[in-house]
Amino acid sequence: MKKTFTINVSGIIFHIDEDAFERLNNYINSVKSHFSNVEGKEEIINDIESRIAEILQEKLTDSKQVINIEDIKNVVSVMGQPFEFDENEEQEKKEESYYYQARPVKRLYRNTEDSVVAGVCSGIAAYFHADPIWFRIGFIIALFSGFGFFLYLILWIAIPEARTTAERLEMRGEKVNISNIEKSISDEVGNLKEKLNDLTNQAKTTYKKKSTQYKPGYDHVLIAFGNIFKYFFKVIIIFIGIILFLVGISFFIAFLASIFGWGGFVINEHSDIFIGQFPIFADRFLGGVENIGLLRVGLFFLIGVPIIMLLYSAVRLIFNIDKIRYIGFTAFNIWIAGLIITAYFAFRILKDFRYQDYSKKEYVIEQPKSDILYLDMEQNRGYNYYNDNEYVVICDDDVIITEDGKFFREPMLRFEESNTDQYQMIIYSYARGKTRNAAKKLAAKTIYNINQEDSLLTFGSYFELPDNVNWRDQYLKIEFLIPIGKKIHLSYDMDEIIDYHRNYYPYNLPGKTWIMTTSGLKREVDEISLKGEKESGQEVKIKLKKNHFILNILSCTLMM
Amino acid sequence: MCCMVLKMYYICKMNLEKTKAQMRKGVLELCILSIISESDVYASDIINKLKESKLIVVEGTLYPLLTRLKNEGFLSYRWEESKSGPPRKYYQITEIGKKVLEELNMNWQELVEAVNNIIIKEESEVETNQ
Repeated sequence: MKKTFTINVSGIIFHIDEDAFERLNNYINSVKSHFSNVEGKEEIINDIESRIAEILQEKLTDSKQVINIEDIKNVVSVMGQPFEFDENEEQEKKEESYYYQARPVKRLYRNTEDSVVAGVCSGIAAYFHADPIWFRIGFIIALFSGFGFFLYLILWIAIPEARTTAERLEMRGEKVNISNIEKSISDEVGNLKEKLNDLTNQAKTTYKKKSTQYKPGYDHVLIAFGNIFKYFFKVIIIFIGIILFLVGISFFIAFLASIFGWGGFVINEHSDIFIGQFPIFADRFLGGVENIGLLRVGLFFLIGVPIIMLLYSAVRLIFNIDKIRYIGFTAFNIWIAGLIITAYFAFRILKDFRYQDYSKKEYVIEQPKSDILYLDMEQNRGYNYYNDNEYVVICDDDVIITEDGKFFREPMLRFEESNTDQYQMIIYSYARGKTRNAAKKLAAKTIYNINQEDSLLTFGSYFELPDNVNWRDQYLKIEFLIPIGKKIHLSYDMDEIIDYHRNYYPYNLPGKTWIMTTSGLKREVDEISLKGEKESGQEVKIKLKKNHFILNILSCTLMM
Repeated sequence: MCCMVLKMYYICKMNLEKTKAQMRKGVLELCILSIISESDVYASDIINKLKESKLIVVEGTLYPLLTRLKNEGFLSYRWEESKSGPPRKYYQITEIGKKVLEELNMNWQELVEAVNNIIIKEESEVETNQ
């Protein structure tokens, strides 16, 4: 809906939109001022007006009864701007005035038409014919150094505001003549129209905003501070956008690299960089997925699309781009498709994890001649421990996967009382499968090495999966049975595989000798450990002596 | 430096435009008188004819000229009602105007001949030189 005026142009009545009226009025005024010194100006203007009326008349039809701004623009372009009428006798006069004002006056004004706070930066920029953004950035930087605020305040007070069109022309260093003023006014009218449109849009969303902005003489400082706040808000938004963009781009590169194996994928574990190949991992973990391409597409939709949306929103924040229609909807649909594809694979793989079972194997221990067994760890780990970019460690040093897809995991060792008078060792290997039977079969494939030489038992530090066996949550439990009265000695390295969840024996098992009693493992003090405990032993003795001494004193006093 | 060159270029261009405008201006009055002498016309007719031959760019140029010609007594006009718009000013040529037109016309023919002589000679010279 628009407000219209009724005007009379050389005897004909027109209905005209408000903005169109403003434009026409400006135009006719500029024509009038152009011909103000010409003989017979009334006649010329009347002729022009009647021609305008004629053109406008042609624009109207039964369905279009109101003159709009486009019509006026058309009229102006047909009739021409006053400075285009130059082909008349005024030319000589004009040249005189041209010489008179050959050097246009340039003055510093505040440009309140294009202002963030008070138009200081904009005015300075107009003076130097530069983009105000550089001065604004300069002031923001100066703001942080402290004096920027006061400098701005001083300039705000010192520099006058460009109020009239002539002043605005002076601000830009343009000649103050009729044609320039006319041009400037039509620019301003155009700007005003845009501003009005903006305002109506704003008013639609927040009525409140409008009322504060359009109270004449309302607290100007408050509005200025509001503008400062708005500007800072914009800066913050852009800053957030940049951060989002950086995060998004790194996610995206990492993700693409991992999915499509562009140079392998990177896991950063304890700041060690590990490079793996997706196909090997997919194969090892997921196992038997013949259509790996589809899985990639699914993963791309599921993970890649949100990352892309993150990037998109970052770009929108930075460059203040309008929302593209349906993009969110489309992205959501693609994401759902990715979810379905991935879920399909997930369910297929999940089926493989349905049942758990174990296979039990007894390792026959050659009984030692003395009643002590020494337990130690194999130093060779099956992978190069020191080349830590060739493997990755998962679950607190529990699971190790090497670059070429080899899979290692620590077994769990626990000690129990034996019913017989023999050392026994039972190895339970667990796995999961579609059926119990499959799980059991898979479990049996686990490789674990133990060696015995006389009374020295060497345990492997990890169990291993053969290359053709998929990862199905395999783990290994070793039950070590010790007859009562028999001893074991544990090397310090044994710490790695001892299952401390069994709570009935002391925690610091390694590096010491232990004897099995009816109430679990007990400390056996042997020569090796005595050396280490000499000092503490002395302490005990001293304590005993002290006690003795006190007792002595007590008894003495009693005796007395 | 660059600025200077640009400025020079603009000055030249402006001068060229001025020359062209002056040439047009001289001929324009002759054309208007000639159009009006054929039959009584109103402003739109004149504009259409002039626009066809690209003698004017904007219509606003015409009105001051018409007024001046009328004030000098070369033209007169009468009002006529129009069905579709405001009443129209129909221009007609006066006796003085006719004489002026004749003189201007002769002047123009002479001018064209003279100018053509010069231009065409120059051109043919250029051609023979080549």
